[in-house]
Amino acid sequence: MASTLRSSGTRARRSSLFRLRRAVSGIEARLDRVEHELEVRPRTYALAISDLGDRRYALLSIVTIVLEEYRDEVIARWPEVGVYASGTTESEAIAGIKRQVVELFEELRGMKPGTPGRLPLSWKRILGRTIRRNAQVP
Amino acid sequence: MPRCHRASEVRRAIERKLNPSCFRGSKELNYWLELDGRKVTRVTVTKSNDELRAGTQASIRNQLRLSRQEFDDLVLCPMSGSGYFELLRNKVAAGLL
Repeated sequence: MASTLRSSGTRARRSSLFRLRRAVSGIEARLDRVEHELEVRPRTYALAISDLGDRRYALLSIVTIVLEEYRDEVIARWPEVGVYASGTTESEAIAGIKRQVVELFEELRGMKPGTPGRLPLSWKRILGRTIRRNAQVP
Repeated sequence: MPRCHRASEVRRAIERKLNPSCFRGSKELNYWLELDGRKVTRVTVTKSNDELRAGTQASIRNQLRLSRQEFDDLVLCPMSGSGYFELLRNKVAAGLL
């Protein structure tokens, strides 16, 4: 009788130990996922820029860009015109986005009428209102 | 965990499948994708051959207007150029492009 009780007690303990281990491994997996999410989620902030770093172009108004700081890179983007640039530092990313904005401006200016679709046309309108080409500077 | 592709793999997929017009920037390549003779979106990819970092890859994926799975499919082959443009056409029809 006593031995039967002992054996059923051991089985119950083993079963709860098994359930506990399974629960712990589930928690560990979720913790790994949370850690990974936190690691890849960037710190995001806005920054105002007032020039394009190129004497041939002038900004007619201040432009707000978005910076995303990841563990190993910084992304600068101007979502309204669909451009981004990456760098290992904030200043590299900012210099890159200025270069990208100028390149997009020139690419759109050089397009034949009727070729840009709806979205590129809206980029062209926005850039036309924001950037002036300095005719005096070669 | 999202898969990170090499910049060269992404460039190859865009160039071979999507037949873009390309502008060479100083550090990047700017691809214009055309649908029915109109340029609908622009994609910037670094000239390097290294593995893309998470932020850069997400930015390219956004410019291509693809979900993570669709982007993997485009780079790793299951998605063809016509499959991609079909997706794009749906976005244009929905007024998203």
